[in-house]
Amino acid sequence: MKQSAKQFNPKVILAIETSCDETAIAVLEANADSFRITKSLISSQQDIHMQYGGVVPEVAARAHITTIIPLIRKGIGRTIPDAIAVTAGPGLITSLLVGVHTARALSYIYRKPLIRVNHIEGHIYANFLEKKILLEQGREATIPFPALVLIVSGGHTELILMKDHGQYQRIGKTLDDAAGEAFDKAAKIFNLPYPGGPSIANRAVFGDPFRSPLPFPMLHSGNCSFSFSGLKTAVLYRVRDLKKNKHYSPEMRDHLCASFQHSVVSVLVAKTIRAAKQFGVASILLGGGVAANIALRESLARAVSTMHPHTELILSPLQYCTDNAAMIAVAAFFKAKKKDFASPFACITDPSWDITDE
Amino acid sequence: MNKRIITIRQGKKKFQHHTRSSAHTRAVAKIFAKSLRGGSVVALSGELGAGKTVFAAGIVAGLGIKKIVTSPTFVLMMLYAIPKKNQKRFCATQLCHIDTYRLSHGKELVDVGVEEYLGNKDTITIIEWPDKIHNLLVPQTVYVRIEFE
Repeated sequence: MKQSAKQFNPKVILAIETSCDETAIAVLEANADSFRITKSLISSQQDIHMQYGGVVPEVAARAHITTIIPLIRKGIGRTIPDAIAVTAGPGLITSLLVGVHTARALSYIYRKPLIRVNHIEGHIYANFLEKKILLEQGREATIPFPALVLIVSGGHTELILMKDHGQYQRIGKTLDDAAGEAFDKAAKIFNLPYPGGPSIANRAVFGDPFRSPLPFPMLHSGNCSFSFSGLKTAVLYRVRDLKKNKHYSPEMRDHLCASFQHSVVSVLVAKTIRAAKQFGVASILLGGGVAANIALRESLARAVSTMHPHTELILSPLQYCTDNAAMIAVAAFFKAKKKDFASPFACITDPSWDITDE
Repeated sequence: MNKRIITIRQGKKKFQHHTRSSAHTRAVAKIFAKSLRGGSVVALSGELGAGKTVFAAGIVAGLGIKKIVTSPTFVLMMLYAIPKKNQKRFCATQLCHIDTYRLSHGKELVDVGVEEYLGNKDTITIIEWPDKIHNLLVPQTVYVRIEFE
C-alpha cells in the first residue's frame, strides 16, 4: 500500500461504521482540498432487511453480517473506491469486528489503502459537514484551532481539546452514565417510549423547568467531569414521592421532563464554557446523538455568544449527530491527507480505543 | 434516602449488608471483589438507580483496574484488562461488564457473542439485569441483589 501512498489523493472513500446497533456506510468524493458526501446509508432506515427477508431487531449485533454487503452494494455499486475507512473502536467488540474484517477484506482485494478511524473522532469530524464550513470550499475546509469538542451520545459524554488534526486531549468525561443514557433511563421512569432523548424533549416543551427543580450534578465540582447517575436517582425519588402524595399527573410529568432536560443541558453547557475559558479555545464543536437536542443547541449558542464571544461555534448537522458513516469518511479524508494508513493484515479492533492515548 | 440492603447469595450461602451511601456500597463491593476468581459470574440485580453500576465500579476497583467505570448500557458489553500484577491472584486476565437493560431477551445477548466470555476461565463477568438471561447463567453464579431500605 505504501508505494501508492506517495502521491496519494483519494477521489472516492468508502466508509464503514458498525460500532453498535447500526450498520452504516458512506461514500465521500473528493478533489484536491474539498469533499462532499455522495451517499450515506444506515441499515435501520433502509429496506435492506425487507429485501432479504429478515427483520430489524432493536439490537442487531450479528445482523451486521447480513446487512453489510448489500448496504455496500447499494452505496457504491460497482465503483472501486480509492480508499476504505472503518471504525475500529470504541464500541461493542462483536459489532466492530464485522466492519473491520469487511474493510480488511475489501482493502486486500482491491489493493487500496485502509484507514482506521476512531468512533469519537468520527463524531468530532461530523462538525466538518456543517454547511458554513463546506461553503468555504475552494480552499481547505477548516476550523480554527484549538477547538473544544463536546461529544454527547448514548454511550459517551466527553470534553476533548483538539489542538490540531489528530491531536486530542481529554479534559473531562462522565464518571458513570452518559448523557444520552440518562435521558433513556429517565424516560423509562416517566414511562415514555424509547429512545428517551426525543420523547423527553417533546414533553419538556409543555413543562416548566422551575416548578419541580432537580439537582445540577457536579455543577460546582471545579473540574470538567460529568455524572448523570445521581440525577436519574433524583428523578426516581421525586416520582416516587409525588406518586405517594398523589401529586403525580401528566402535567407534573411534563414539568419534571423540563427540569430534567434543563439540569442536563445546564451542566453540559456550564462545563463546556468553563473549559473554553480555561483553555482559551478558538472554536467550540458539538457532536454525538444528544447534540440533536434543540434545547442543548440553543442553550450552548446563547452561552457562547454571551459568555465566551469571539469563538466560532459549530454544531454537527442534525442528520449527522447520531451514528453514521459520513463522519467516519470525513475523518478518514483528513487521515488520508496525512497518509495515516493501516495494513489490511494488521488492522486491530479495539473496543476501548481511547483517542487521547496516541 | 441512600440506605440500601445488599444481599449476596451463592448456592445456599447468603450474606446481607446494610449500606448507608453509595461510597459505602462501593467499599463493600471492593472487599467482595477479593473473593472473585477467573470464571466467576456476578449477577447484579436491583431497580433503576439502586446502585448496580456503583457496585460494579467497586468490583473493578477491587480488582486493581484503574479505569473509570462508565455504564455499559449503550454498548451492552465492556471489557477491562486486569493489571498484570493482579492476574495471578485472581486467576483471570480480564473483566467483562455486561448490561442487558436494552435487550428484550437473552437470545440477543447470545447474538452479541456473550458466550465467549461468560464463565470463561480467564474472565470474571459482571451482569447487570440478569433476569432476562437466567438460562445462560452457570451454577456457580453469585447473585447480588441491591434493594432500597
